[in-house]
Amino acid sequence: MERALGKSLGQKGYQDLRWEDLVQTSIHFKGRELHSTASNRERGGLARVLTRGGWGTFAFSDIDNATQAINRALMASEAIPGSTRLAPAPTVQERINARSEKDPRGIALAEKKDLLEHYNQLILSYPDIQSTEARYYEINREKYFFNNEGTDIYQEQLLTGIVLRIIARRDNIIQRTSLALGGSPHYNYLLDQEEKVKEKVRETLDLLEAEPVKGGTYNVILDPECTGVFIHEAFGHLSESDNLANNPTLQQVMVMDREFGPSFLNVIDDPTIPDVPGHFIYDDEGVPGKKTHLIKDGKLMGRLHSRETAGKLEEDITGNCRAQDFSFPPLVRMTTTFIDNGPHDFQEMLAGIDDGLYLKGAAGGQTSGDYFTFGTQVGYRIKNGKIGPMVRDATLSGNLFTTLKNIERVGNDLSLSRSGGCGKGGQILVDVGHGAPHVQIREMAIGGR
Amino acid sequence: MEDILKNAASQADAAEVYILRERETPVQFERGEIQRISQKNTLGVALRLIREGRMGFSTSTTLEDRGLVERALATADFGESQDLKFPSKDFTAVESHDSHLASLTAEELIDDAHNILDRLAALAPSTPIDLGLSQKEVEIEVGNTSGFQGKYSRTGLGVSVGTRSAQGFREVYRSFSSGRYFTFPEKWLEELGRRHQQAQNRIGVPTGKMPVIFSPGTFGALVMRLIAAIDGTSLNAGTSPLEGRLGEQLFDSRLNIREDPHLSWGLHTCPFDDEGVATRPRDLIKEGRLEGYLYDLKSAGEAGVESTGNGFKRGLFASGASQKPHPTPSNLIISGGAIPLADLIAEIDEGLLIEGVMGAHTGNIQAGEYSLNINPGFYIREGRIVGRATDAMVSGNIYETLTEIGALSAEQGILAMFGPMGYGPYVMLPGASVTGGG
Repeated sequence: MERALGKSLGQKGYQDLRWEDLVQTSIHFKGRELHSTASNRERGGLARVLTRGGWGTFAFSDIDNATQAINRALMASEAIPGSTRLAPAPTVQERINARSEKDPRGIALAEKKDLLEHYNQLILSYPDIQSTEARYYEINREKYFFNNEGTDIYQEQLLTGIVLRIIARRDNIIQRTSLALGGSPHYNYLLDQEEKVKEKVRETLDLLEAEPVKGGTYNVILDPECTGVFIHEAFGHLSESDNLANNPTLQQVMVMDREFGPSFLNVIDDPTIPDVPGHFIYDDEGVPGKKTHLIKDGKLMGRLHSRETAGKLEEDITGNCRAQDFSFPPLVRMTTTFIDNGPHDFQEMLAGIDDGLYLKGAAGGQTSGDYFTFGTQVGYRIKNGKIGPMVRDATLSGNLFTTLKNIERVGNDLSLSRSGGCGKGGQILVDVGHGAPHVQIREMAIGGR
Repeated sequence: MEDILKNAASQADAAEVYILRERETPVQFERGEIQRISQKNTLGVALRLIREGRMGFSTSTTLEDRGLVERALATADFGESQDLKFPSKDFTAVESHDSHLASLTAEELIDDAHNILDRLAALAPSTPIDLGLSQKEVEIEVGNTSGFQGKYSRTGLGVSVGTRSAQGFREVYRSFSSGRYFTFPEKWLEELGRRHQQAQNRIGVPTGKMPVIFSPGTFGALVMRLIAAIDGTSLNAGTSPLEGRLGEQLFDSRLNIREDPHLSWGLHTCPFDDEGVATRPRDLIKEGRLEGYLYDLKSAGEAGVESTGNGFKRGLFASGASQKPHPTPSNLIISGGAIPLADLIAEIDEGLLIEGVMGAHTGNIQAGEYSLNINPGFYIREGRIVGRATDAMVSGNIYETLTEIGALSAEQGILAMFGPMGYGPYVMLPGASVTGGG
């Protein structure tokens, strides 16, 4: 039935239709208790039509309403004046099945529960651990895409992972951290991760003794996870061309070859890297994803596009138009965004700081376009090149243009994160990746009392 | 609904079905021009069942899904053990559906948007304006094998209007939403135009303690920390600092926070929660004292208390039928004071007016810690707004900073944390910790 959906499309303007069949299994422990187990299935589609100046879209969950949805989207688009031209994209007919070293769908629910319980018990075996939140998730998306140019794509995307939240308490001090495992199609990536879990538990317990950070401006070293969130917020979102496409003043700022950072700074968005959450073959308008250099040798080199923004800015398509699920129209989104390896090593960075902070672990971030902020899980004072006592509650913020120029060193130990989430335009994507090596930045503002 | 319940009941000891129908029409304008019309008409269904004392949960997007019961049964084999009982009590009707609002067409919404754009253009000539206007209608139906059967509809209109800076980034904005049709208030557009002018002067802010005024929208970031701590799930897990502290004086006696699920035309108005438990208005904070916790059926069962009617499938990052119920407030209402905002500003020698924050979802939320990037915020000198504050953060812990409230404004706006939470005033805190770059 799904394969025939493409026949509902008409010939007026550009029209496409996505249909998604999502199956999701989750297991959730809270403390010692099994909190819930769930099996969700969501099916639905979204019709998009562009006849004049803007998109009309219509989301529906009843497959019999496909033709009606296309008509409603057409009516809406007809009400939008102007003339928007999409950048050309190749016509594709392809079927892509998910490939997994060890497919979670072939594993009994009982075994998954046991694995999750094993990590959960490991955490709870430490004194001063007050509680946990341990989640196993497995999402399989079967995505169909059709447009009236002849593209017909079936793409299966499988993602499985574990997220562990660790909550420690001593008297009235309560501290929490989180750790993500997996974030790929391979169930075996979730196995044998005990050492990682133990290290995170020890870090959480150390936080109970840590002092809150004092507000002010610091020289900092960020670990790969922090840096990944930093570059996602501080430059990744600015690279998404939807804001730029309607913004002549910003276009004058975002000029190719303009210097944004030091010569050893390279920022890349790449959905082709397998086994991380930001991986896919085709985006949600049927465009193949590709590696895009955003900053090369410190200079602006590229940006992320939908067919609409590439058309408006007369640049090449990049395959970055994605939607949270069937019920949302796709927007320009990052995939796996990272800072590439640089020339420095961690010891060199430490030696270069007399008085500063080493910050580890991401705790979410946000941007307004020109300003950004993000939280960290743990921090350490650095005194005369040596790592000192732990501090907590460090939240960083700054202006992205000045902060990128304040990057002093980029390490050579690139690592990609196992989890990612990103909200934009009311849509939370679970599958964005990020990463980086260690990075040293001067004069970062950190909030505190 | 009945078929699913009957089918589930024949294979389980108890069952509950939740159905959500959503219809939505958002129209989006950028720089004064319409960009998108994104309509939606979807259904979500969730089934919870109990077999041999274990709970199973499954969801789907069609009532015809034959696998719904089967999948719930499969998860019940590995589900949590609990003694949760589905409710059977009756509920009182509420005013939550405006048929005029529900009947508006996309064309009428576009006309409304143009009306706002024209009015603002007259107040702030040659300023790029972004506008989002969204009409929504939901129908929620809950039924269970204890005999509960309930259904209600709710409409919503949300308007967000903002200006852009010379560089093309967001400058200032105002949002309003209601369950009933409304015309965007003229005084807010005037204020928006005025703030946009004031924002054209950029000012670095010094680091130190100073009075700050949180707008209703940004005060939600602080209230959200309190909500995380009175959540029955956190209380049961021993991860809340507010366990066993009912009746204690936590905050300044001027702070009153009520939950009113029966407020006419509120955004979260409902006769019963997403588990069919009848809702009721009540105090959470009264004259600074802690008066209530939030429980859904599950956390109430664990704590040995009654559900407070707070089992909602609405979270910070995800909402809808596929979510499990979680202790969540309906409409939150913070009592205002008698002083107009203008007078609050006039009394400040050096301080900040905060109209937007970033990073409200990060940090040790349950412990009450906050460290927020101010964006946008306005620097106040000698009783006057002198410009937009750049590179500033405000940090603290609500259990320290809310023990002394300087004043609450007479004006009320939408209390928000990403989405709307309810209604509240501007709140002045006399000695907030500000980290600035200037």
